[in-house]
Amino acid sequence: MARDWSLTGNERFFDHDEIIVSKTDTKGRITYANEVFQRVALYTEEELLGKSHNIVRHPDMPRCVFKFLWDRISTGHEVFAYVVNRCKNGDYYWVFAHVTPTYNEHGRIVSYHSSRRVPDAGALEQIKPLYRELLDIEQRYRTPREQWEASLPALVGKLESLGLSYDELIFTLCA
Amino acid sequence: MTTMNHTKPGQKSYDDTHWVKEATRVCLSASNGDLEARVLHIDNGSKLAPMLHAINQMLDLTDAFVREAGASLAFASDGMYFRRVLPHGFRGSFERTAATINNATIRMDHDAKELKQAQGERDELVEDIKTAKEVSGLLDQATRDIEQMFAVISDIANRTNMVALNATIEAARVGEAGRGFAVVASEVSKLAQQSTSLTKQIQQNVISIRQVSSQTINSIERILEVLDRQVVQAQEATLNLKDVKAPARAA
Repeated sequence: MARDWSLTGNERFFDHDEIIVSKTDTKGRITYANEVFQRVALYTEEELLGKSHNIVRHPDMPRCVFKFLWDRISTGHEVFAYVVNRCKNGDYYWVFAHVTPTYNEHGRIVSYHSSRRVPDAGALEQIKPLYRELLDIEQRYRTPREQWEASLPALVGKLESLGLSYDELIFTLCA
Repeated sequence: MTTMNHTKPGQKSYDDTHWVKEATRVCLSASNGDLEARVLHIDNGSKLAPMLHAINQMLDLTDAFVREAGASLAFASDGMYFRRVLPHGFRGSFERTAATINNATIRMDHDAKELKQAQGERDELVEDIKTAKEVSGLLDQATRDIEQMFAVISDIANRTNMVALNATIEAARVGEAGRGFAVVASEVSKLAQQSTSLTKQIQQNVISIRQVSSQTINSIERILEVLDRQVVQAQEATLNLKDVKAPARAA
């Protein structure tokens, strides 16, 4: 069945006091989705459990951000990212995501945990044009791999020109 | 069985006993430090559903807080103080403790910057003191050189005195004609003696200068030893922190 990529252009919101929580196995399949997640993304728990976290992927997200994020957490590091997600009906919502690995008693990564908070409006104003720039680069290529291979250096270059590490940039934006 | 079933077709329905068992299992896991467990597939038609969602919510926040606090402190122990606990979503004790941790990392950041500045200043101080030691060494060498000259001066004074004595004897031999020359010889002898006594005084002064300069060198060496120990201690403290950090990471 072809993936439904239709978009409504409507933005959905959640409260500053709320956290969208999900957990996935090491393959990225959802093993837990809290009530806030279900309410904002318009999915039921049954529709989310066992599905790839890509289910909420929005076409406006540059691939290189996910590539970067995945590389970081799979090596055991926490990672933060501003992410726009797609709801079941094509609406969208912005989050400030914090993804961390969960270890078992032998120190092996057994799952991933994601807490998503309401993003700072000022930070989003800076992030949106950056993502636009990265997407424009990606759209010149066909396969996902070619896309992130082309845009990732642009993201790294941006950080270098700012003289900040990725984490420092994120915390500068949300401070 | 009193539960009303609002399950969708194909979804297995459970009675209250099942949900109470599930809630108990999840709460016990959490109290054993496993914050991963959640109640899944909650039947929203069950009268227990609000309680089960509440348990999940409590665990979500506790889990998020532990991850946040842990990450912030792990970064701080790596010497990175920008990673603050994100306050969004936390209320009450969670919120207050997050603020306490953030105040601590702000303070650590401040202290680390001051320490770095102090280290820079201490390095400059060490350089200045090394220069002072070099100058004192030169002074010490100069006084030793002067002391060697005293032997030469003293020898010249003795020989002058001897020449004057011989001149006096020669003057006496020629009788009246040598009287004037005898006066000159006697003056030369007095000058030689004055020169000897003045040289001795200067020699005393030079010895004092040398004692002071060697005391100065000793003091400077002690100061440098103390500073070196401080540098080593600071390096060891940094190394120890890294050792402490390793198991914290694995946890």
